[in-house]
Amino acid sequence: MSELANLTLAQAARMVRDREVSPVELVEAALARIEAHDGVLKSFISVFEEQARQVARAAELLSDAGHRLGPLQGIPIALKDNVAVRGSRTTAGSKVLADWLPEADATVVTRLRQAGAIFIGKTNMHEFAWGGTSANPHYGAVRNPWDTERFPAGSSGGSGVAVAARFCWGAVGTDTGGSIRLPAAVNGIVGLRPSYGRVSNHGVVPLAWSMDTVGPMTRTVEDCALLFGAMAGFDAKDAASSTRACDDYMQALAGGCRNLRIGIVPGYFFEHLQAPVREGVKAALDTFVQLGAHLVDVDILNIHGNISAQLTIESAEPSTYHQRMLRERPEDFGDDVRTLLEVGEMLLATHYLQAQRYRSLLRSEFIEAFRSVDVFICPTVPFTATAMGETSVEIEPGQPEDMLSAIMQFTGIASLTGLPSLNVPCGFDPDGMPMGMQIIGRPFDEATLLRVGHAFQQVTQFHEMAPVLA
Amino acid sequence: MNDPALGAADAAMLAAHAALPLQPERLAAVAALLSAWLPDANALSRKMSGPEHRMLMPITVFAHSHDAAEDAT
Repeated sequence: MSELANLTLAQAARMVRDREVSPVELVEAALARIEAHDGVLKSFISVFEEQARQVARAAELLSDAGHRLGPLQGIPIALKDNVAVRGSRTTAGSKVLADWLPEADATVVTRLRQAGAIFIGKTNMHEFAWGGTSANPHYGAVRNPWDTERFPAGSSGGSGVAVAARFCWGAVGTDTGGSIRLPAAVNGIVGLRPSYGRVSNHGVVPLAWSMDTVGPMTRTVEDCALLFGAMAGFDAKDAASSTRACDDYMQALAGGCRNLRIGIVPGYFFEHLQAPVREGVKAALDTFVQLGAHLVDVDILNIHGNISAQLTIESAEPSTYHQRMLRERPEDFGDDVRTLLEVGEMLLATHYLQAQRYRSLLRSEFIEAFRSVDVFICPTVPFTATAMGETSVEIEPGQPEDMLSAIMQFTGIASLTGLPSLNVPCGFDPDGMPMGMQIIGRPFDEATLLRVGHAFQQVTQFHEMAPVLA
Repeated sequence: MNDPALGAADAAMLAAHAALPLQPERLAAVAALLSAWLPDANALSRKMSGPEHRMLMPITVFAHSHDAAEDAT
């Protein structure tokens, strides 16, 4: 692997700023790796070869002339293909939008441009973000770089793989029920689902309006803070956008974990998951205790039921958005997404509204619990990457379960409550497949999540491991 | 209360209720998924209908346009 590809985003940004490396060199390194390896991994739908080279040359000229565009100046970043880029095909992983050329950038794209980022391409994903495998029937099934016979999770599977495979220094994903955190965990990278309303959804193809978020995916927590700082903030074009001021996420990284109170929900956080994942996350908790944190058992009495609420809301809202296309072009949807959209039309309004009432209940319990703890930590995914093409998973030996329900066991909590949640790599299973832990925080307290995750990465090396690409 | 498994005929009826054309070959997959999900959804509805939750409002709110005059203070 080239030395450039192995730089973190923060390192690369510092080197560009100090003119030790040029944006052109970074773009060429990224394009070379994509060319060499993405034929198998299928993490990109579109690669902006010429455009990225042109922007890199312009960035180099500006840098040479002493201009400072922003914290991401000259850094190649990938965008999930449900994020609109003006004049560039934005498919959302679908055939339905195969030829869509947006007339305007998504707000997050505008912000990243202003920060100096160079877009290297648009990443592959589960069709319309409605699923967790990224087995895309139209643009190819995304493969896990740690073992190409395993799945990369999703729906932001392409973004997760592109970061893990060192095709870019960071990527943008979207997360409704876990679509940033799941592929982050399964591919061994960092992924942040922000508080609902912290990053604008304007210009992003919706999945479920009441839970959709946009967030960063990177190799380190420091990189995540840097990228997130460029993405976050109020946007008048998004009615759900928060006017609350953002923290300085880079400055917040220092501070460690001394006296941090970590909440554990007994009877849920370490139940019904594969043994290596349980051991890996518990070992991570031991590390936090060694750093001066305290573990606190906290009962969340109504935590059971969250998966059903998640499935109900995440079915009804997409089926509403896609209602017309499901009637006019049903054959253009992949079989799995088509079935999910059809089922979403058959749930009752009372199912949906009771699920939305359940969200109020669950959120109030977590808000109350944050009086006694600073964060919650649990596994992100109850299992490590399964074989490509699987639609079920065995968490308990001999008991296959539906993949979609099983994969959201832990991520649905933050999605339903609107709380921020950070995946941080915390180990590998005996087959060498990555696993992650999920740090859940108070509303708009991403700074604490990043501080806690960064402290963990200062004393561990899981984030430094790289998949060996054939 | 038991939730009986749904069959193809049930799926067809629900599709008709939603004015959703559904080819016969799709009914089995839809019925299977509904059969898997509806018992939990109904259980959650029963739970949320309990008197202890009577005051809870759903997370559905008016979305304010940040540019609209009505939001000006």
